[in-house]
Amino acid sequence: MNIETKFFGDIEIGDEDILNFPDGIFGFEDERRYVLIDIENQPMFKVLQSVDTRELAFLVVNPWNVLTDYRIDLDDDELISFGDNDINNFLVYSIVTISEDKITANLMGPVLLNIKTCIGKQVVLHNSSYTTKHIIKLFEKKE
Amino acid sequence: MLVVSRKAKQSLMIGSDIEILIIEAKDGNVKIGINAPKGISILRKELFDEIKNQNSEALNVNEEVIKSILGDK
Repeated sequence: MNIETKFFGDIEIGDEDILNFPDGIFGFEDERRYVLIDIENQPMFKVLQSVDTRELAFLVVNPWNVLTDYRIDLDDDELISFGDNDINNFLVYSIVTISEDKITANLMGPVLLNIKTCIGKQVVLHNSSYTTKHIIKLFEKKE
Repeated sequence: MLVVSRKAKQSLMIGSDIEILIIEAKDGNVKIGINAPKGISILRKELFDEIKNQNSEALNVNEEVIKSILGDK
């Protein structure tokens, strides 16, 4: 099928590329289908694009590229909602925010994807000390 | 909004499988215990809002900004 994307124009995706988010993403609970798109020459970032809404696209980063000792503690009960609790089948991404003076990653609310069941979910690491605005890069002020 | 008064050690049921127990109420703090089925997400509202707001903020970036930043890294 053909979908409209925020950053890459129209692209062709297969049914097998679709990631189902049964609970949506916080604040966008009604949007349930996403695809993960690679960015040419930018292996660090990817785009999590809604299948159904062009404007709904998040820039995401592998959190271990941002913080090498990043750690996620989830109990088995939470993993069961993915239909598969083999941790080898999980990918983890943090949503990136670009503001005027910095690029930050949300390490407190990572997005987990199970590549076997194609189920995704944003979880909240409420017992961690991670923030929603972990700094990746500060921009130098232009004089 | 439904408003219910409860004393310590009393509880409330939401549906048949979610129990909200008032454990203790003193000095302006209420300690609450929650029994709910696995898979139900329970979050303090502030955290819920923080994540929600961060998601909205993350979307609020125009294409050119992203392209230029990705381009020069």
